[in-house]
Amino acid sequence: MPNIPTQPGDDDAADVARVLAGDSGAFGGIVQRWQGRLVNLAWRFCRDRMMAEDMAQDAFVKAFRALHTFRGDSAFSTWLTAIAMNTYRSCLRDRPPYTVDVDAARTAAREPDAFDGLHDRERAELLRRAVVTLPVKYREPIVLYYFQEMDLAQTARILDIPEGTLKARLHRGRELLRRRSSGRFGGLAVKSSEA
Amino acid sequence: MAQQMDDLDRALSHDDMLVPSSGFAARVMDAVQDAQAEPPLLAFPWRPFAIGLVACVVWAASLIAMMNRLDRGLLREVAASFADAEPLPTYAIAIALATLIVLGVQRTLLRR
Repeated sequence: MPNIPTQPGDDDAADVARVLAGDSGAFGGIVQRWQGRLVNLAWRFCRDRMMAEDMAQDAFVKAFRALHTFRGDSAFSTWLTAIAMNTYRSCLRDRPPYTVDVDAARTAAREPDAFDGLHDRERAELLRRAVVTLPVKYREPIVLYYFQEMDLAQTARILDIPEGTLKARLHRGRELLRRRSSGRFGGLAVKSSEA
Repeated sequence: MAQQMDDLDRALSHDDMLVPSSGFAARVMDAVQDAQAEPPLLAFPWRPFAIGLVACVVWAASLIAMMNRLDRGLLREVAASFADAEPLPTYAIAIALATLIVLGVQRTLLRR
C-alpha cells in the first residue's frame, strides 16, 4: 500500500488509505465531499444537469479505479480534478458542438445594442455560456481558473502546461469572450471545435 | 494575472452553483460497487507471447543453419523437380499440405 501522508483533518487521505486497505465504502466520504465540485465542473463544460451528473459519475468511477496511483505527491484535489478533466474531455469529444441561446443571439443581431440592454445578470449568464463555445485550449483554463477558483499554479498542474502558457491562454480566451460579447452577439453561436 | 478586475472577470468569477440531485452520491456508489465487482481486465499474455517469440526465433535460426549445412546439390535437385513438374497440380498440392499443417498447428495451440 502506498505511503500516503495523513495529516490531522485530512479526510481525503484517510479515506484513500481506507479504500486501499479494502474498505470500498470509505469512497463514499470522498464522493460526499467532492460531488458538488465535480458536478459543477462538468456543468461548466456542458450546461446540462443530467449530462453533468453522468460525467461526474464517470469521473468518480475512474478515480476509484485509479486510487492506487495516488501517491500524495500533489494535493488530492489536484489529482481528482485532473482525472475529472480527462474524463470530461473524452465525454465531450463526441458531443455535437455547443451553441448559445439562438433567440438571444437573433435578437441581438437585429438590434446592435441589445447586448447592452440586457440586465447585468443576463449578460453575465450569456457570457458564461459563451465560455462553452470557446476552443478547448482556452475553455479549460478559464473554467478551472475562474469557475473553480483555482490559482495559476494549480491550474497549470492540472492541465499539465507551463504557467506562462496558461497565462497566455487565459488572456487569449478573455479576449475572445470580450470580442464576442461586444455588440456582435451572433458571434457567440459558434462551434466549440473552432480552432 | 495582475490585470484589474473588470466586468468580464466579475462575470466569470460568479456563477450559480449547481446542487447535485439527492440520489447522486448513492448512484455513484452503486456504480463504484459495480466497477469493483467487474472482473479485472485481462492482462496482455506476455509470458506465452515471449515463449512464442523465442520459439519463432529458434525455429528460424535452426532453419537457416540447416539450410546452410544441407548439400547445395540436393537443394538444386528439389528445385529442379518442382520446375520440371506440372506447375499447377504440384503447387496446389504443396499449398494444400502447407495449409493443413498450419491449421493443425493452430488447433493444437488453441486447445492448450
